[in-house]
Amino acid sequence: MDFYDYNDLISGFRNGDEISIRRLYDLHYRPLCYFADKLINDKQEAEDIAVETFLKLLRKKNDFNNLSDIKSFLFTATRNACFDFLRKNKTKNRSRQEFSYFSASEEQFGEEEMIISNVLQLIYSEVENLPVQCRTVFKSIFIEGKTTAAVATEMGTSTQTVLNQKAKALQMIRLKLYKAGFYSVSVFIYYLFFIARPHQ
Amino acid sequence: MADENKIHDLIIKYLKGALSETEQEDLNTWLHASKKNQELFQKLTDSKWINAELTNLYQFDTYKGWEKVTRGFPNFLEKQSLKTEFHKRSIGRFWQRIAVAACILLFLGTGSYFLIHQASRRKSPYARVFVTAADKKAPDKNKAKITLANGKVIYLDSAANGTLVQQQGVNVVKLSGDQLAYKGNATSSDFTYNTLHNPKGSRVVTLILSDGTKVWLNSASSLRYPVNFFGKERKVEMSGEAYFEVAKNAQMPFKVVVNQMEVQVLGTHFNINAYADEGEIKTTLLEGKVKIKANDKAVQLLPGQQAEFSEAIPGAFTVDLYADVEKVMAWKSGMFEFDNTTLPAIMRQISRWYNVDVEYKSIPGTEKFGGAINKDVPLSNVLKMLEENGVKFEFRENKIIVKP
Repeated sequence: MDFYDYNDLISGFRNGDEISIRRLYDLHYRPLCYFADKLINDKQEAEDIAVETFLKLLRKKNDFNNLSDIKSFLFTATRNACFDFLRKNKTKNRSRQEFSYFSASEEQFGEEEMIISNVLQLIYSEVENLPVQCRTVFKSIFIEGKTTAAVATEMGTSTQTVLNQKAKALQMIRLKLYKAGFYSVSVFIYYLFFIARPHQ
Repeated sequence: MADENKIHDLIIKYLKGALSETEQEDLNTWLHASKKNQELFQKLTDSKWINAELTNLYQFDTYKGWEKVTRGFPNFLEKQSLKTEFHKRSIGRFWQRIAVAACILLFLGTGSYFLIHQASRRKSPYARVFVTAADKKAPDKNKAKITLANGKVIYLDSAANGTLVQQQGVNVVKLSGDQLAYKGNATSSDFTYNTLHNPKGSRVVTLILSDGTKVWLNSASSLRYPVNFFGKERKVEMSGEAYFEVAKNAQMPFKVVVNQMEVQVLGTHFNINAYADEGEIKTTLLEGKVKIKANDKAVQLLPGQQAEFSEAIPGAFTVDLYADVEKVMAWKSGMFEFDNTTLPAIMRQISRWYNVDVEYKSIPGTEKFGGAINKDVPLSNVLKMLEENGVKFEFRENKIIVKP
């Protein structure tokens, strides 16, 4: 299942084109670091695992025909690398968190983090696909929680421009998440749905 | 029960509002399966939670990671070169890039963006690849100069940061490679004029005038201004292109004079594009209010509007009620941005930025182009983009020859 029509990117990637490779890297590197860090709780090691995973992908580049396979390879390989890392370090420092991981089976390892990171990767790529100015405004306002005025000062532009860019970003981001009042309403509706629906 | 891969895809589809009926069923089944699942779903649909996690995600440095990848990369590239001859490879790889760019263009359709700018932000690892003997790098520093009232000239790039000169008690301070400020209290009430000239092939220079007004001056542009402002108005003169953020002072209106035209403001943000070779003067308002006068005609703008004044058509103003502000301001954010732009208009911008001449072998066509590209890429990148759209060039002796 492909959410993006990134076929051109895939063929460029397979042909070893650096721009395509960089683009794929840009879309996944941070989410992979985030994912690995959640699993092993070590930022530096998480970065190394993400780099190593990406290199693994490059070595096998001809095996992939679509973005969703690439994404799932990257996340699965990262998870496996984290699992190995924790297993190796198990005897050295046995933290509580690691312990709980290893009481679960390898298949279940990182299941929840995997879902979270995959969803975040999508939102991240939506944000990164915005035009430069739009993206800066979006990140400052929605992610960093800055005020319009503060963003305008930082960017050396007017508040009106910031407002324009913000409106443009909201139009371009195709996620309900950033539509006003979305989450509370939707979650509420979902819960209502549970109550009304008999268990299978 | 659906497996975990399926689940994140379902949640993503849910966030996009693209769930089919059966998928909705699958998602509900998963949600019913455990309290844990419901809690997870609640987090993933809570924008506050998501934003906090994105902040964590953004902490990782993409550039640092990429350097590590490229260090592991050479092996990968060498394997490629074994298959093909060297020159073929370089040409092949080059055309691949263009093909990819073209695909992206086709994919995005009209009003397309050259996605290349994504890859070339910061220090682009590809920029090096493109530079050949007959290429030209984007300006990497500011070459602006200030001409003082006594005729003395100060070159910004050869001066150290700090106070450059003092005139009438006002210090001219170089804040950084591309920032200047006039600071201090005047000791005399005579008008002393300085001129800041930013030549072709120079990066944008920022100037803070003694009243606190901030001016961004594009390449091939000049601004003449008094060291200090006195009297009933604050008056400056310009040519080329500049963006103003005027410090508020209701008692002293700020006036920008461009040939016969005058822009009058109290404290607003606006851009003036008055390159002589563009034929008309375009004033775009971003914030506040401006009044534009020429001869006996005047027009007022609201934010987002643009007034066009042509000296060829005396006294005529054309107002665009919904100007593309992002396009107008692209120069300030280091971008070339075109939309419905003719080739000569694009070439004029290229000529000013890369400091090159342009010659046409035949009368240029009327076709229009759209797209955006980071200004930090070498000239060849920009030309290749246009070549992909059917324009032919030759570049030699600092001159771009546009072929029929």
